[in-house]
Amino acid sequence: MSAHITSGRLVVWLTLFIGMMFQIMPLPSMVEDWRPDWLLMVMAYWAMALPHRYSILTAWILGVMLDVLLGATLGIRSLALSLVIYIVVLLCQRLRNYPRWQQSLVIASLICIYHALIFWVEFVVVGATPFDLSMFLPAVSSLFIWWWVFWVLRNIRRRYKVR
Amino acid sequence: MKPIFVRGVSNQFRLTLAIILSVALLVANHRLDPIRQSLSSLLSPLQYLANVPGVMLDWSAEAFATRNMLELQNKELLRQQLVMSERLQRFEHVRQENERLRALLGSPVHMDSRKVVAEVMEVASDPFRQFVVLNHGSQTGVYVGQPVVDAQGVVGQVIEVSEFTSRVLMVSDTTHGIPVRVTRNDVRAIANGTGDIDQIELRHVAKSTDIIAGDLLVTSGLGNRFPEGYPVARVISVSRDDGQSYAVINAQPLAALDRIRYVLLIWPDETKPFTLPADLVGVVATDPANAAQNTVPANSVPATGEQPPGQAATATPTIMSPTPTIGTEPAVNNTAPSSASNTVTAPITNQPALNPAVNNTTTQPATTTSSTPISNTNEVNQ
Repeated sequence: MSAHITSGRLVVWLTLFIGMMFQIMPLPSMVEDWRPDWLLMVMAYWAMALPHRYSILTAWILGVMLDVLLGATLGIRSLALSLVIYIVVLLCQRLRNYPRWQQSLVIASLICIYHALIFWVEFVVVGATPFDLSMFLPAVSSLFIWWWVFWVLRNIRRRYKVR
Repeated sequence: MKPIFVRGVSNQFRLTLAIILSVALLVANHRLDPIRQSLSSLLSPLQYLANVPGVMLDWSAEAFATRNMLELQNKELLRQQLVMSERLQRFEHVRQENERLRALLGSPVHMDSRKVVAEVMEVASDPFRQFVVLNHGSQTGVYVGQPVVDAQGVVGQVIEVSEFTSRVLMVSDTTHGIPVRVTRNDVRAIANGTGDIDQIELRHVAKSTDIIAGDLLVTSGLGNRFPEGYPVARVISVSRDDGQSYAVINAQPLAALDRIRYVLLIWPDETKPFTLPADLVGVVATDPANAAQNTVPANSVPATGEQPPGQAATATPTIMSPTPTIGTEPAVNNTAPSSASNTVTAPITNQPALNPAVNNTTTQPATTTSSTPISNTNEVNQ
């Protein structure tokens, strides 16, 4: 049983790190603005499926790591990510029963909140960052990719019996 | 068995904890640099991993390059190399002349500094900032505040170093400012980033200042961060609107900040005498002054800007103007007019005193043979 939990934990963290890697991977500058929020989606899935294991504090740790990787002021993404994951945890019972398209709408709106929060904190901390509506483009691309992320992660969860 | 209700601490408590911790991080951000450095060293494998697809693409582009393309490229490079080496020959002549004149004036001689070519890693950065990540870190000796240039001009400065990577703040970032001077008339200003990758601006410049579109801005060396004389940007527009308190001056960075691949890391403090490429040594060795010239950099300790790396951050800004100003140049010797008049053609070896207590002694030409260079031992508090 204990070995089971350990292997499950390994699988979850592996998917989270792959999500983080996708988050910082180079993209052609044309699609750079459309980069889906992989890490947020993977974290949201696990918070939705296993809210008693992976929730707000996991999100906080991942946010700090992402801040370090992106060179941003520490605490910006950890704040935004933990707030968004809190909402996911609150809604998890409902989200699980939503049809897939409705789920992706919720995720997209969460991503909008996430980016608005990041912009707001960056504006306060760094100052004079230009406002640009293109920062909400990831919500649009994530809308379409959520379906695929959900499918892959659910298969992983069932295959490795992560509980 | 999955519990329906969360056991242990409530979600509200976790959220509050997360928010408090985040705000604490935001507030204490500047004191967390050691933690940040070790975290980023820990996470740098992830960056190298994320960089792999880009490297693979580059590799495949090279592997499948046709013979024709390679030949074309080779021809172009040979042509460039010829043009450059011709330029280098002239440069070498001018450099020696400049060094001789500076030695006569008693100014510090310009030295070559250590440089390392670094590759820009293709990883995403904070979209609100202008960063690039380099594939060299503290293992190579990269330090925070180090100047970074590319083939065209200044790129920016290092702001964060981990074991194997470093992060460069580019000149176009809103938080970056770089002291510059106009090459045409030596007007000094500070160029601030605008957050736009191909635009920087000169703020707080009086409307009467003589700056016109097309002026070249180079680093002024003030502030002791960037060595003097590297090109930064070219002025593209100057508007002197009556409604504004200052002139609005926009410039375009010369370095192609949005598509840099290779950059040079510079150690301005680790200086060494100029060394020539092997194929040029024969050309310059025929210069009669060359043998004497080589002794100048070897014996002299340049007075400004050459502190050891550790002191560089705390050193007070030293003015490095192109014309030596008495009072700011410790190497200027005011008390030896006779030796100066005798030795207009002879190179002077300057040895600025490291110890301020040393008395001012001047070795007169009479005590030395006519062929040896005259050495002046100067001191700061004359």
